[in-house]
Amino acid sequence: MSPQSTSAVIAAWTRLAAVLLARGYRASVLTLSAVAIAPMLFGWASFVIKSGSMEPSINVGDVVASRPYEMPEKIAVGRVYVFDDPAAGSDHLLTHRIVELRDDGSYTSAGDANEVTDFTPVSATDVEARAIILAPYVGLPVVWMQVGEWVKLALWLLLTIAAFVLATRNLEGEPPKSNMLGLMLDRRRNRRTTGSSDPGEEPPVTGAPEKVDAHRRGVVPAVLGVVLALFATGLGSANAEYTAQSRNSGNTWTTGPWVQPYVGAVLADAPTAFWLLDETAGTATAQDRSGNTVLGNYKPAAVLGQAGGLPGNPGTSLRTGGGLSLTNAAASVSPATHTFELWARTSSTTGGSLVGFGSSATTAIPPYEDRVLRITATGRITYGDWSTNQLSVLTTPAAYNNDAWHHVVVVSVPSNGNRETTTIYVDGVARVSGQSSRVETYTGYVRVGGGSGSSAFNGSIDNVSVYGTALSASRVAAHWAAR
Amino acid sequence: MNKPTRRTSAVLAAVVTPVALIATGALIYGSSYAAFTGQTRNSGNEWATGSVKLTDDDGGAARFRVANMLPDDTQTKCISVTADASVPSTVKGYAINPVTSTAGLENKVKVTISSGTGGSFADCTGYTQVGPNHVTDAPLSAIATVNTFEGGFGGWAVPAGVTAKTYQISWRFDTSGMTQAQIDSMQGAKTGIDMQWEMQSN
Repeated sequence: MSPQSTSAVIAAWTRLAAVLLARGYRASVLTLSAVAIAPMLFGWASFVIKSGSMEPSINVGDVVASRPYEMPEKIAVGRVYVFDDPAAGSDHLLTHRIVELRDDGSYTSAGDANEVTDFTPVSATDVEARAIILAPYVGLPVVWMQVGEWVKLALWLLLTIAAFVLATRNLEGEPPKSNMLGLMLDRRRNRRTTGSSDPGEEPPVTGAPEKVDAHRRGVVPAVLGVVLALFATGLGSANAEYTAQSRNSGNTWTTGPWVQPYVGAVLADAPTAFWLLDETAGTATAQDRSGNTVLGNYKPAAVLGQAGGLPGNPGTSLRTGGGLSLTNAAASVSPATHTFELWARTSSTTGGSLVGFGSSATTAIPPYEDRVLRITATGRITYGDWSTNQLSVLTTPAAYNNDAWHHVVVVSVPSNGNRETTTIYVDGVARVSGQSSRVETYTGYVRVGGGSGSSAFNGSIDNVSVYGTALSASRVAAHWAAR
Repeated sequence: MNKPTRRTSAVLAAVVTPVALIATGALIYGSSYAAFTGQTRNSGNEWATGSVKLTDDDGGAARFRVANMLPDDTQTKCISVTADASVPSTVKGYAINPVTSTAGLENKVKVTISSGTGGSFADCTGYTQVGPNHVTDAPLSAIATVNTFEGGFGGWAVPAGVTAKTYQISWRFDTSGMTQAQIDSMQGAKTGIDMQWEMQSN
């Protein structure tokens, strides 16, 4: 066999194979397209899958033809559905498998390729359609269009056009025209050329088939364009999203069995009364934190709900513009040994009574009044300034009217002749100590922020406590430290 | 070897289209059957080359396990989240499984969340915040109302490949505006929450 004839043989076989391949490809493309599009003719929906979480069952570019879902229909667990993604905004379709019916009637979905199920449950109202038919690959051009892979799209278009053109080539031994259009054209041409009317005897090389091909070359791209347009407009696309989760579980916050440190320190010394003054404005009764239910009555001068005095102990204080602010509600016998403790803040230069004991609970000057802790016009703190008979007044060396909160404690124990031995502590430290004025024994009230003598206290008061005992210096320091 | 005979060509030509049709039909049937008739999903198998993974460095430990919390206590911790995505994805965080307390403690534990680079679960050293806070001083109860991917915070756009991000979470027990009696009522109260990060491909 001559080399020439060998190459002719190869060419002939190659041509045959190419045409056959092209025809096979054409048949596949048309079949897949028909399967993808045809269900839409009877009301189904077809979706091009845009992402790959259902691999290997469903790949990117596959078309899922699905039957619309109506509410009462049972959702089959284990099957694939197209639904509105409950974890995303509107108009976001997800194609995933329903893997569980939850106790609350909703469903759990999952992508086959995801290790975890989708976190947000799917309710039946989200479900759009049940996937029935899968047409592989045929949606790829749509995906390429959507993601802008123009090179792939162009290559595919070229290849497909070439294949469709090649597929129309006539093969030896078959009738030259395989479709109606071709046959009609052929007949007309045959009549014109008055050649042989036997189609099987057509000479292998004439101008006629090329003319036909040239004609078809115009038709084929148009057809393809139409098919593509159909896909792009007629097919919705649905997602099959990859998902993964990472969780940090079991975060807990448990509060300690605390009382506020200052409250705890005071309660440890068993006060007879402990008014936190944390009531809101308009409250008439001051609650007693001591457990002894020694309630207090707020007076009109008290302005509640002011900033608290202790940095580490949240709460509010009362403010008085001058005048009696609080007394205890029920009268009691004046204590012999006693401690008064409170927090005070003022910038006043007129002084006033912080706390004391008197025989009435009104703003008027009481018939009896003693045990009065007072701040002077110069800001010093005094105790004993109430009696003209054996007057002994203790006065702190320093002034405290600097508009800062100060912790003031006065501790008195009976001494000879109804007088008392007294120590005044300010900010946890004993500032002055000695004999103070004579006190009487009578029934009366603890009076906060008001008293006889000099003008009324103008400032803020917080956390008043009264003890029937004498606090030690270390306990006073402990109270101060717990502020 | 000879050229294909007319007979061969004719037979092959007649056969090729029906064969292609049948093969395509079989492919469609097979694919549909495999995808839509199987009852189970084969999760986590090796073919899931396109899958995404999201991990954190907590090693299974809770980020916060606070006992004996006192008013004004505060704490700042970090957690590093690593996304392994084969396709561009989005990561968001949200809270689930809130534990409510009768005293309303969840309204008083206030959380701030930011994200950035550096730092780890063990140690925030080296953490540098990038961008504004995701959540600023929000009580646990408010965070717990955002419990889906859609509403989640962050919106971290993850490119294909492995990327990591550190989230810094700080809390404080805020008792401002409360009376001592109200604060006292919170003694022994317990609240809790799980933080979850979710990644979805775009």
